[in-house]
Parts: sequence; structure tokens; C-alpha cells
Amino acid sequence: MAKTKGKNIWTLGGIALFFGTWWLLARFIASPLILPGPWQVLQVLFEMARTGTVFWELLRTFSKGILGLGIALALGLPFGLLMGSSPKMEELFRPLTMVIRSMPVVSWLSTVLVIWGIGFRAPVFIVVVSLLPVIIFNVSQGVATVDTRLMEMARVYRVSRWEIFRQVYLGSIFPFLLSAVKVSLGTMWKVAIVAEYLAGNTGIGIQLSWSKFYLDTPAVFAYTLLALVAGLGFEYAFEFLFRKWKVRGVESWQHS
Amino acid sequence: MAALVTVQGLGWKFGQLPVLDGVSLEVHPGQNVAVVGPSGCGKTTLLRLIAGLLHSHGHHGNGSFSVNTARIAFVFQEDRLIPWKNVAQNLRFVAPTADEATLHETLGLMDMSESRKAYPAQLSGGMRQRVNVARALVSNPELILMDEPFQSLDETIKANILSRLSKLQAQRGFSTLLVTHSLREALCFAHRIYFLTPRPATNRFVQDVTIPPAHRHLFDPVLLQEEGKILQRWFLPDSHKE
Repeated sequence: MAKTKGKNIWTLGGIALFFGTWWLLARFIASPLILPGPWQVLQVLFEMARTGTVFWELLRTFSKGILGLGIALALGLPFGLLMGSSPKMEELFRPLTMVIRSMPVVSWLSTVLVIWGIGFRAPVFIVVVSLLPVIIFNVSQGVATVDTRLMEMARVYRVSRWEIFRQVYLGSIFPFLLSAVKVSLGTMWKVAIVAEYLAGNTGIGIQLSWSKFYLDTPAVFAYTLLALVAGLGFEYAFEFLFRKWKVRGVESWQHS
Repeated sequence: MAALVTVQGLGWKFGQLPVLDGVSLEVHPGQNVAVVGPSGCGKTTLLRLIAGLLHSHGHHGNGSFSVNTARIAFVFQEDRLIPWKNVAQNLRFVAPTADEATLHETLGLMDMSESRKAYPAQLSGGMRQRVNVARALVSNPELILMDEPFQSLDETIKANILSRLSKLQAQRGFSTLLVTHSLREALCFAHRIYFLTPRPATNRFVQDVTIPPAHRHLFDPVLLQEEGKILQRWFLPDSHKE
């Protein structure tokens, strides 16, 4: 208990340090056009929250991010399983996955803008291609760690292939999948906002773009802060759920 | 009655390394057979061959073996429980059609019904090994292969599991093939013991066990006396014999 309290004090200290440094820099630069102070940004943010419009923009960004994550999971899971279960399949799909992972976001954007133009689909696509390699590699790594001794046991008892897949394979990759989702939830926001900024017509990204266009720097900072809080909030919420599962005893396999 | 397992002059090599060299044994229905040999002599290889866990791939030497049942269970040296499944789910994995009553009864035989919702990491080594045995029992086998399953357990737990297993075997009539380096475990459980030589393993001698069931306990004086006699007869160097 005392340890947690101590940790919380240090975390609060860290947040205070962040805002303090920001405030000092803003005072030093003394130009709200370049760097507005934290108080000014918070005022803009409260005003946005009061009118309620910002929540819709947040929801639009979130819907693109979560749809992209869903598609990336739906594609990444089977490909990861395939790559993890056969070295030949891994060799076959590895170059493609590496290309997807290494290709700059702007190159993808140039292509999808030609195909779909500005709108909803381009940011979703960018989220998919950004998260897909992370999920594929994590799942494939999970499959590679399947305990061969469990497979032998299943063979002796003549357990069906479907049950082996369902109960042994999926169970083995579950922690890897959770960790991929955790990383993806943080990345998802960043990528969705960048994609909206460059190829979207709604969401936090496009609001950032317009605010920059009108030289409304406090609004740029307010949207940035909002995106930061939303991203971290999701990561913490997931972490909280993950801890709940652990409490239920599901973590046991990771330590046995 | 035809033997469930017949091994005839079996040889086996891993690459150029001979592991088994002319091993023979038989397991008949309702019979408990033990294979006793020094550590690393190839007992586990023999058991894995019988279980179908090793494939020829050019390693196969001479001799032959046949297994006349598909209902095989294996009690492994390590528990091999699925860590993210609880005890009941681990049993259901090998016996998906088993009803709640059967699961409860089988776990009860090993004194584990209270822990049916526990995960393997929450159990002690002895408890996990009892679940390992319960898993073999719930699959309703005709033949149970046991690979030194009690190696890491203390003597009291070992004696407890062995006596429960002996009683169950007498009731249900399944056959068992136990490999162990412990002569006392073999005497406690088996009707017949095959002794193997160090690697490459070959048959050294066969001993039928005639100890009455009432004295088949790890700490029973009659069993200990029998153990002493066998050790003296076969393993004591001539220079030490009177």
C-alpha cells in the first residue's frame, strides 16, 4: 500500500514536472503563436468540451482506429498462425510482411489517395497496414513457443486437430496477442490522427490540420493534449482489464 | 489372450548412437509390467516407441513391436498439464465426452475433487502429478504407460498414489507399463519386472513378483525384504557375497 502511494506521488511529480517545464518554456518564448502556455491550452480544451463538438471528433478518430485494429487482427491472426506453424510459410510471407512494415506511411498515403481520395477509407487503411506487421509477428512468435510436450500429450490421447488448435495453439498465442493489442492501442491513435491529417475529412487529425491552417496554435495543442490523454487512457484501461484477468488466475501459464 | 504389447528383440538407434539393443517384453490384459533399468539406459525411448511418439525415419534398428489397443494413456515424467486450463478442463481435454459425475469421481480417486477449479500453477508438484494420473484414468484406457511419473515426489505421496493406482487397476482391469529406476516402486506395483542393462539397453533378467497385495506398500517390511533379496542376487558384486 505504502509502495503504491509512493509510486503515485512520483507519477504526480512527473506530471507536474511536464507541465512546469512547458509553462517555463512558454514564458521564456513568450509567443502564444509558437508555444501557448498550459493554462491557455486547458482553457481552449474546456471550451471545446463545453460545446461537445470535440467528443464527436474524438469518436470519429476512434472509430477509424478501432476498425483498423479489428481488420488488422482479423488478417494478422490467420497469417501469424500460418507463419508460425510452418517455416516454409514464414519464408513465403516474411518479405511481404517486412515490406508492409518498412514502407513509409506517406508512400501508402500517396497510393490510397489516388484510389480512394480524401475520406474515411484512407485513414482506416493506414491504421491496418501500420498494425498488421506487429500483430503478425507477435502471433507467429506465439505459435513458435507452443510447448511441443503438450502436443505430444495431445497426440497420445488422440485429441482432434481442431481441439489442439483451439485449446493449445490459441491458448499459447493469447499472451502474445494481448501484448500486440496493447501496443496497437497506443499506436492506433497516433497513426489514425496522422492519416486523418493527411488524407481525412473528419476527426482529430483534420481538426489539427485546420487549426494549423488558421494559425490557432492553442487549438493545435488542445487537440494534441486530447489525443495524448485518449491514447494513454485506452492503454491504461486495457492494462486494468488485463490485470483483472490476471487476478482471475489466467496469468498462471506465464509463470509455470 | 493376446498380449496388448509385444516387443521382440527391438533395437533402436538415434543416428549412429545405439539406444536399445534387442529388448523383448510382453504386456497382457490386466497385467502390470515394470521395466527397471539405470537412468539413461533407454527406458523412456522404449515407452515413447510403444506410444507412437517416435517415428522410424531411418533410425529403426532390428526387431519389432506391436500394440494391440488404441486406448492408450500416458503418465508423463512431468505433468504436461495445459497451464491456462484448470484441473477439470485439463481432464476434459482428453475426455471431451466425460460427464461431470465422471470427472468428479476420477478426481476424487486422486483426492483432487476440491481442486477442480484450480490452475496448475496453483497446485504443488504432488497435486499436479495426481492430476496427471487422473487425466490418464478419465480417458478410460486399456493400457497406461507411465514414464517415471513419481520421480520428483516424496516417498509418502509416491506410496499414496501407487497404492490408489494398484487398487484401481484391480477394480478396472486396465494394464500398465511402468518404467522406473526404482526397484521398490516396481515391486509395489508390478506383476512382472523386466530388468534392462545400461545403454544400449538389452534384457538382463525377468522377475515375476509374488508379493501379496496386502504387502505391496513402499514401506512394507515384506516388500523391503524382497527388494533386498533381488538386489543381493543380481546386483551385489561377487566380492561382497558371502
